[in-house]
Amino acid sequence: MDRDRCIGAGLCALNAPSVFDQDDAGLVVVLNDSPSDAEAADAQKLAEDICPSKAILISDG
Amino acid sequence: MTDAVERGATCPVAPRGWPNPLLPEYDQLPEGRPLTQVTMPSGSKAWLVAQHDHIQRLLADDRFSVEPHPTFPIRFPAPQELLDMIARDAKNLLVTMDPPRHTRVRQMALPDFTIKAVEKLRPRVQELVDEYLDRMEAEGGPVDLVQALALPLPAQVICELAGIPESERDTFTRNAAIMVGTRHSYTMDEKLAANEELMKYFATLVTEKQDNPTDDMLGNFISRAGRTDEFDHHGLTLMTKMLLLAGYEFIVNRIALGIQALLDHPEQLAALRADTPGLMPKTVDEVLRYFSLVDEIIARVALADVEIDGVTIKEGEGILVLKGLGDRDPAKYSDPDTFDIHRDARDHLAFGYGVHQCLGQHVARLMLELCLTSLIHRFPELHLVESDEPIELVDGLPPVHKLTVGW
Repeated sequence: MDRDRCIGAGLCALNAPSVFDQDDAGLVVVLNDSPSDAEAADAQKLAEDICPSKAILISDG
Repeated sequence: MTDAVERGATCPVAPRGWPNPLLPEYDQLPEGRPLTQVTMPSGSKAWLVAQHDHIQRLLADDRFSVEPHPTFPIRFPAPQELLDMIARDAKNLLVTMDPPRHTRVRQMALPDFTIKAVEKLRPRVQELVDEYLDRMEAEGGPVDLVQALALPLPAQVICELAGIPESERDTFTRNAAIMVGTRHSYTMDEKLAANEELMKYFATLVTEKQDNPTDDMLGNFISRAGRTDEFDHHGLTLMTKMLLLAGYEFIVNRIALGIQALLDHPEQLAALRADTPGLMPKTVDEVLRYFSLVDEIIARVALADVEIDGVTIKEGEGILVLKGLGDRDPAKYSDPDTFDIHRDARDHLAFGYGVHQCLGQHVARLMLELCLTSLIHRFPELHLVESDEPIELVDGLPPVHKLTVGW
């Protein structure tokens, strides 16, 4: 998660609310860093296609 | 390429008629919609960007700028004094600032545009929608949905976000409607007069908020800005205008067009009525994708040479992003010209992409969701009576059109 890149569009929190949230300032926070397979697949889609500022990085670990 | 340059000679992406969002010229883009170079009226070079993938990559690339630059692609032959005015105002507008200043200023407004902040507006927006629908029902159909709901609702919501008192709302709604243009086109003089009256009003509003801070979107922004030296009073007035008007016309059109699309697709409407919680989020995104209009073109200028798919966009060259085409890109969406509320359209470009993606998008989503939900459940027999003929565009903006419905 790159909070310096985050612009607070909120699309991660909108589309994967069990994994991501926005803090009071509007920037991304991770709620769950070991998501289920389905959640991880969604996070992948968010990172690649939906997050407008490319602030989400997926790691396999 | 020769063909593209020729087209460029007559301004490549001049705004065109409504309602067909896919214009004939764009269909003539070469197969696969590669990056296509055109010449702007000023003589500078720019590239048409029409692939979904290219649009995302280039709008997320920080080597492109939104700030005034001698070769920034401007789509009309602009006299120097207009360019000077644009450059002066640009210093005070979020939409024409690059990071890092853009980041600082966006974060002054952001806390009031988060999903949680916007969700707090839900009961009040629902109440307003219900009031407009009560009035519609009392008057009896058929009614023009644009005048009865799509135009007044966002104006009221914006007034609440800005903490504009009831007694002053008429000044805002009357002039804002002229500025965005309704189905009766206004002359340039009328628009300039409306702009002047609004700017005068916003200047007063800024002073009031500075003297007596209020806990609303605009009040909070002005308070946060006041703790920095980013803006003088005129700058705050310009930012106020941008914050309050930037999304107004956009949402008016989407409310009307969204309901029209549903009425045009009765099977999808029936499915949506049967499972509104399950299908409404997808419907909202599909309305946004399907009506992502080519006339809303996003322009940038390259600050360095940028390589993309074997093409070099040279430093100083512009890009003109045709997001309406990106949202109808067959490489991205199967059967893209079909309206389909069952598809996954979450990655549409209607709100733009990159750091400038629409700040108010959750407010727009909320209004669209509540209008569509309330209309389809309140009026089970809702149907289209007539819609307008295409209307000439004014200032490059798609007009608010007329949509007569009965029930």
